[in-house]
Amino acid sequence: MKAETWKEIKHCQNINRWVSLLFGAALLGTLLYAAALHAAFDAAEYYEKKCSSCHTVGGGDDVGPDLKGVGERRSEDWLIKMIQSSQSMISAGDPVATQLFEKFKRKKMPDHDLSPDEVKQLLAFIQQGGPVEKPIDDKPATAATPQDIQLGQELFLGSRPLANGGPACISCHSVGSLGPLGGGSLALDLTQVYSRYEDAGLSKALRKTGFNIMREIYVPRPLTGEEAFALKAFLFQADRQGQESTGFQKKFVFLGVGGCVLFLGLMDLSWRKRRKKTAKPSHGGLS
Amino acid sequence: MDVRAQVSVVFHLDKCIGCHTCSIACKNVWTDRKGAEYMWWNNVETKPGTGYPTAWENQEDYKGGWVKKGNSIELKGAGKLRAFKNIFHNPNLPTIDDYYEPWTYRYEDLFNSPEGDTQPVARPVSLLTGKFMEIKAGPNWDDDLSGSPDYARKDPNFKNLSQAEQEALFQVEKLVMFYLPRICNHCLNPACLAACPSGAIYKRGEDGVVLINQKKCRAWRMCVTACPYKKTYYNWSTGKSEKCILCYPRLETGQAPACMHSCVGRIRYLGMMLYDADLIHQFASADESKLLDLSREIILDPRDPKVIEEARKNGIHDSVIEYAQRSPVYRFVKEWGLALPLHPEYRTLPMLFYVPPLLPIMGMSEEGVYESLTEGLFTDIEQARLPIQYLASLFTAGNEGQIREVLKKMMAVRLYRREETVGDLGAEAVQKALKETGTSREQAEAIYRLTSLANFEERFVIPPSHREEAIVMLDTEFEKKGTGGFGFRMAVGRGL
Ligand code: SF4
Ligand code: SF4
Repeated sequence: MKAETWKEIKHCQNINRWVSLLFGAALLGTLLYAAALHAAFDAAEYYEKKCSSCHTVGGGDDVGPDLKGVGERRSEDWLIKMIQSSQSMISAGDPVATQLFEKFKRKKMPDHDLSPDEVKQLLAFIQQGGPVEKPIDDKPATAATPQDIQLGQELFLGSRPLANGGPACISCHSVGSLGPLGGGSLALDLTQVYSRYEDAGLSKALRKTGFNIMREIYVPRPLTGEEAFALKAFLFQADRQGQESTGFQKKFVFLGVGGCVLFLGLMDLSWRKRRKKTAKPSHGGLS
Repeated sequence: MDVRAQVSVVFHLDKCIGCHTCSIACKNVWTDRKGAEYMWWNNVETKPGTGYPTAWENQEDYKGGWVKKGNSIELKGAGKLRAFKNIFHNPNLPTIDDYYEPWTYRYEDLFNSPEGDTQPVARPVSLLTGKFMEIKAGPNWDDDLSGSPDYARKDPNFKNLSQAEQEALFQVEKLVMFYLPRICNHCLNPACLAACPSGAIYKRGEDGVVLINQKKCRAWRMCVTACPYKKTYYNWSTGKSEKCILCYPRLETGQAPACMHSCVGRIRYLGMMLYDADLIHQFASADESKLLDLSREIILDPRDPKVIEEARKNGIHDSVIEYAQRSPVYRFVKEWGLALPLHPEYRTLPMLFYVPPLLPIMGMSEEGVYESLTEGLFTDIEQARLPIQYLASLFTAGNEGQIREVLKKMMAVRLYRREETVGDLGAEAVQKALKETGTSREQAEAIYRLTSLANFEERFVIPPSHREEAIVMLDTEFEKKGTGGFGFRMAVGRGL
């Protein structure tokens, strides 16, 4: 091999070394950063995000049991295992876990990727009484201005997006005063929801969305106080007007069939010069 | 001048016995696959008749081929804008009923049926649905004029014949027919190629064979509509269109295509021709009356030094030029002017030529008695049982004069041979016939020899394909050589 080529190769190898060193450093940095992030565990925040939608501390059983005094009821060891993975406890045949599972309608508690230490912090947080429940002090809907109602309608229809990115109500719900097509038919019609829940109940339902699917959607993207009030005002108004959106399903079917016929008709028109029949005499052609 | 090479073919219709051996040979080699059962890349139809697919010549129905527009041409059924508008719904496609529902028989029932009072039968089973079916039509249902009231009488070529002339054709005493074998014409101006939105169809540079790239085809089926001869077919199993490939793997190894190799009547001739690609657009756009002459004129004389020079410039190998000089097709088409393209009015410049059938009257019916001892052995071609107008509709875009010329020349050759072998016609009569058609005795002898005595090597003058030259354009020849023969490099499948 010629000396020059050799030198070139050497040179290349040097560059290679530098590049790999740089990469290594970057990788190490990333790892350290991630570790630091992980270390900053905030029990209160974690509780709010992951636990509060199913549990209360002293507020009675919800989807899962009330956690008040759980530290006395169960051993710490048991709690750590249960929180980390409830399902493996159940499949391992733990009697208490199984019993709870049955009691709470076989709702699975999701696994939590926490270290024992972090679970202990979480338990300590619960021991201290858990989160401070902020009382909901919305004005009654009767105090709403037409602007509030207007805002509520816009939020319901989705023409104005929700501040925290939740989907608009119309995706699943309908309400009497909407146009001919109404809203979604996946969930209840909300025309009379105000009468059913009454003012305070509706406020709570809007702010603490306790229903199964809604919880999944709105706990990470809650309504703001202003939005909840506006929606309540809108629903109040809908209730007063009191016209249930009737015949919605029928209308939909009718529109579907009509649209289909129209579309097929248009297709037939635009391809009216197509070959319509075979030329084969045995199949009725060539006459 | 842009000289290119084209493998072209002559079918001599006077010699076809309608045995369908060619069709079967082709089917066994190429189209006995799933999804291709209904395809007949080679088919033989009876004329008068409606052919396969039924009434394919009726372009008002199928919208195939080109039409003249100003000084140019456009596709009748596809074209750029129209194809785009109809890309998800091609409105002029033949249906499977226009072809036929392919079937087989449950042969195993003949062997496996339990003993009983009646003979077991093999019931027909559809190759499309797998269910028992009632056979109502086939690819050559009107073979030998069967079912003529339904089929032959509806022949699109009758459009210029009067009602009386048509009736005359179907009187038993005058009943007449001939066979028309058809394959893809490997046209110079292929409508199929022009219509393909995916650019999947191409004409091979080295020999002009028109092929569909099975990887690029996207099943739009515009080619099926566009080919006026209905010689591209859609394979419903692979989701790709297919067509006659002129057995190019055989050509590349010096063998005649399967249909030609097996032809019982020895009606088929194959050879290389040189043509001027610069003239294609101009000639294809010419007036209908000139189309036939121009489709001969585009073919160049391979002995002309100027042509040879230009051919060499275009990279055509010397051996190919030499084979073009010996091409039997060139003789039939250019030197003798005996072979004509099928339906030149479709403007695709087909490169398959037909020597029309002479079908002379050897007998006539007088007072209900069929009499074959007419005075002259051959009657005048004007009284041939097949009206000249009918042949003109097939081969000369309606020009009767051109058909008459060809038939007269063929008749002159017959008279000449009769005089040679029997000697009962008189030298003057023969001389007169030859002179009238501008045929020398040598030429008449040559026509006779190539028509009747030609052996394999004379009928199929297949030039070396010089694959090595084509391969190095795309690949390295060593890699090709090293990997050849190890099976398929990729499977052809539906979709991408
Ligand atoms: S005969 Fe039809 S399929 Fe063959 S090249 Fe011509 S247009 Fe294409
Ligand atoms: S094999 Fe030859 S003779 Fe027989 S039908 Fe085909 S073309 Fe005609």
